[in-house]
Amino acid sequence: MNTNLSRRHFLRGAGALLTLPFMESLGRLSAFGSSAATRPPLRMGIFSTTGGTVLESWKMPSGGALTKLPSILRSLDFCKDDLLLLTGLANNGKCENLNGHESCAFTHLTAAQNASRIGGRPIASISVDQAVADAVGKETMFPSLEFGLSNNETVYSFRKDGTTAPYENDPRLVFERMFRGRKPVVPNWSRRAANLAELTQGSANRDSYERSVIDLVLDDAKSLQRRLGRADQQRLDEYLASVRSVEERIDFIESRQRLDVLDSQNPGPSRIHVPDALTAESARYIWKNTNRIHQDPERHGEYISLMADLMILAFQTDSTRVCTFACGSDEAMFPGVVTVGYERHCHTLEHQGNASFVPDADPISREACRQIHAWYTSLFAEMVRKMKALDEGGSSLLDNTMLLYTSYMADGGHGREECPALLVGGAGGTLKGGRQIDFQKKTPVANLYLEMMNRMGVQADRFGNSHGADGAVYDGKLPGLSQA
Amino acid sequence: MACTAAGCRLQIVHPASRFVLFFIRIAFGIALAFAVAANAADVFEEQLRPILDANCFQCHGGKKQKGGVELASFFNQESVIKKYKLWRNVLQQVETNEMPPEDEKVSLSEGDRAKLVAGLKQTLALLESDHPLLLDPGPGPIRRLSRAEYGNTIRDLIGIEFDAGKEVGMPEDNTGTGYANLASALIIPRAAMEKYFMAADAILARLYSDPDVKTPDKRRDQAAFKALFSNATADRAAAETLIRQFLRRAYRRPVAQSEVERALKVFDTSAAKGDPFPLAIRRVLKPILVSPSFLFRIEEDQPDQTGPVSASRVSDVELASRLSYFLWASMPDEPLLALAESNSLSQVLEAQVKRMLADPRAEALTENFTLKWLQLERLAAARPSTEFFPTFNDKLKRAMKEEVTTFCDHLRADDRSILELLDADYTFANEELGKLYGLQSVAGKEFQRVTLKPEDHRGGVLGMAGILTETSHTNRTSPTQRGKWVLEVIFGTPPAPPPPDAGMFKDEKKSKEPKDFREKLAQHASDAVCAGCHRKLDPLGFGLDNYDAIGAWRPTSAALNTGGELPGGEKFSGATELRQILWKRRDEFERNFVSQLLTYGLGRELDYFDVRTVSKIKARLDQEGHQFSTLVLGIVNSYPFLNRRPAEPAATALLR
Repeated sequence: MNTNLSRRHFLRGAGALLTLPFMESLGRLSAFGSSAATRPPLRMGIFSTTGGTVLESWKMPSGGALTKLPSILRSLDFCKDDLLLLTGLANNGKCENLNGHESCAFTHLTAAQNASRIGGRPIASISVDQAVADAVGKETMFPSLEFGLSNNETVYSFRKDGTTAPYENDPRLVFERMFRGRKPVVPNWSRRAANLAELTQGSANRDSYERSVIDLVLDDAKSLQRRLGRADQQRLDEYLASVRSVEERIDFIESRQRLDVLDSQNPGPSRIHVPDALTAESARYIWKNTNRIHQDPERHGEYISLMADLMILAFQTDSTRVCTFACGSDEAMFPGVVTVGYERHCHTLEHQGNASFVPDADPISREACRQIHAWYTSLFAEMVRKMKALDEGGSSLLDNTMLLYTSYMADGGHGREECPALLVGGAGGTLKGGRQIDFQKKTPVANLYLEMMNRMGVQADRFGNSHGADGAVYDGKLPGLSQA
Repeated sequence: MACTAAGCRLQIVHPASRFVLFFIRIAFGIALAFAVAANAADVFEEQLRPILDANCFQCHGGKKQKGGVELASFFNQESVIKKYKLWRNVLQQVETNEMPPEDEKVSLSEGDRAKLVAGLKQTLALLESDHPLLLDPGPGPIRRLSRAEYGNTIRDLIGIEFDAGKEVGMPEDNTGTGYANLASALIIPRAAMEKYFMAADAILARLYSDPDVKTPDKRRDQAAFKALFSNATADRAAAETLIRQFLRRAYRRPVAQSEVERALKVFDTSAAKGDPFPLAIRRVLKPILVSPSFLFRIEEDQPDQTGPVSASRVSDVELASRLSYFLWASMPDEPLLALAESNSLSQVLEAQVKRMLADPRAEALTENFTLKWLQLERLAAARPSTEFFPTFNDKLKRAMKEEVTTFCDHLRADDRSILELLDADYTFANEELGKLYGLQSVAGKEFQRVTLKPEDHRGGVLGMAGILTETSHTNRTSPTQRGKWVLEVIFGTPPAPPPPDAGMFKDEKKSKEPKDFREKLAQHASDAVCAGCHRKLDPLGFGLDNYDAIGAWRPTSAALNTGGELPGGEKFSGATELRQILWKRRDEFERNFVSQLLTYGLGRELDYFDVRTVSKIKARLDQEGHQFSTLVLGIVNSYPFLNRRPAEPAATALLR
């Protein structure tokens, strides 16, 4: 295996690459085994809408047990006991060289103390989804999945290395990414440990065409590397790291396929539901053009439901344990959803109706915004309902999931005070729902992210501006989430 | 590396032995003139800094940085010219008595003010000099093909029109308002690599199934590629020839035999398994389409004879790619690459540039540069409300876009004067748009050239409905957005973004109800934080208020006050007078347009050492007329376009 040797040598030389793909994939397999594999794992889903919320219709006048739900949340009434409504959170890191939407977006999931754009590139600290993916992502096919109508302004997910995680906006592509060359299978969590033990005895096919492609590409990089200056070598390292993640994926798919075979002999109790729109050839191109989603709420609703189904599928088949959906669009039109006034353009309504100083807002536009947010919630509620119905062997998918329903803004006027935050699901028994908790004004939203990270098994006591924000409080925690 | 080595040598030199230091600088052949300059009197250090110390540092020094402006860390002329934008601003504010502000306790004497103004002018004038610090072509880092470049390159390499990026959902390049080819943003995020693999699969699947692929298309270089399907002797030698040709075009340079051999190995493995010839070839193509030599534009550092790597001329082969990606956003074609390989491109540069500009592929320049500069992508998001603008529909919106696109591409293809962007006696319209403009003579769906009269109130981009609509709200015009657009796009002097907490007319302690929108905006802008910018923005926008939110003309009336006063004191009433004032400032526009195209051409933000390049190109334009090709040639023949240095600046490393 001469080529392999030289490649190892090269990978080491590349600096950024410390471990070998082969070693790495062995490590990942044992990571499967080491987790308490007889119980379903905890998943984290973020469902983030555009345009903030309308505060008076989002929360109750004061905290305590949830009684009659505020109108935006009313469609979640069936799972009231699974809801934990958190108020008082703010996200007030400093932004430079950004417009209103970018300021809110870049700080949204990062709670970054400083966000900006340098040389055109979005800059912020790591986002909560990526921080969790770094910790638990090795156990699944994808460390995390991100999808939805995120655009050049609404960038939410930032990696540790400063790059951004792109959002897939075509649901078909999300599906193909998860299940290309692989059938959706529900793991039988009670048999997982046994299956893994059997798996580690087999051996992977390390002589595929895909691997020879990688080898050739790395060879090209290697001969280039010698001829480049230092700064350029760093750029090539970024390229190599990304090639390597493709290589890891290839390795992982192989072992995962064998695990799927074992799982499928004795699958978990829940049924798989794959909507036709994800597989039918006739529906192949309908999502390529996002124009109709923006113009037609019926199509938009279908789109959101499909994405929600994908999040369920991803969790149900354990393709990933971290999933973020950028729901909605500030640029969408809402005829039929909005039934008051004449304006139907979301962005205009947000600005006219969602002024952070409520008496200045146009009440008709504000009502229109409320209608839009109630509509988003109704679609989110459908997803929750489905998760609640999926049995993972004595507990539901919702019991084993921590969903955050939120928005990248606090209000449609680019506000970052009073961020909407609703936790849904049992989070493996670590959340006690049925309540609204009012935190001190300006409590950093970073505290919430820390609480979520800790529940997902990330050992951290600081995140974003948890301790540096104007209003930092509670030592980075949110007291009382687990019990009343 | 080399620069570091130079730095080490400097460190071990005793500070007192200036002679040795001097000697080393000569040895590196860079800083001789600099040493002379350093010995000359530094007017900033000697005269200006004490004045600044006494009058400015209390607000803009180490303790306080009002408005984010800090001046105390500047000690000499060099540090000033490196941050020339800041200091130009300082100069302008001191010269117009804006600074120091009246209510501050300092009083800058008239003598000192004059000294400060003269000294800063003298210092900033160094930017136009032959100061050795300015002999810097800027960094030429390797860069990934932008999404648009990738699509065009695939098109020209394979010969099929197919947007593989869209097919696999490749993310758009996120550069905000910057051009998508900025090197700094063109990294490869981890998730993107998977997309390139998927795209390669999609391209090959399309290529091997598309019946049209055998149709010859003279515009594209696909002859070599077609051989793949019609090869009579499908043996290893044929494969080798084919692979060599393909590699050369994909990598846009001559390839080494070792590179061919490497690719052939994949062919051999496949052929040994009994795969038919076309399939074995297909297996070779995939790795090429995801290799760094294809996905990146790569220029190599040229070590010079004395050792350290410094600025050097790019090779002809590298120049060919610089040209083709500048003008076509795509790979070099066969004539260009052949010229480059025989090292004769430099001699025929001008003819090649003219050929390339006239080629339809140069539409990419309009698409990726001119329209992006005009921020035309904003038009897609504009949604004038039908309640207020019942005549507005998608057809009209498409016509608006078409006008701007056709006009700008005509500028390139017919080699018109760039000043026509500011004012022209013609435009392009169809019946749809003609109705909006009140041009009765235009009939039919097709776009046609229309000669304009002054009473048509059109001509130049400021009279185009697309521009006027993209800078409006859904129900009304936005004088602030239009003013910002003029400052940013036309003159290249964007105002600072509003503070994040700037309200949308949030006014909690209103003194009185505003009587109209103008007064409402005035109240909002009276806040000291806002006033500085709104004073510059709003008058420009009110002047353009003769155009409504979809760009239809409406005369000034009692209900429509279009008068205003610019910060310089110039007064005007209405769009026609305002546009005359803007025309008088065409020099500033021209300079900005040169800077913008140079930014795009180089694929990087401009720096202090580029100021004089811009001046030289502008001088040539003023001398030879303002044709688009003159501008492009000025850029192509400029020092930074023809030269490069490694990403770490050799010159500054030496000075540290």
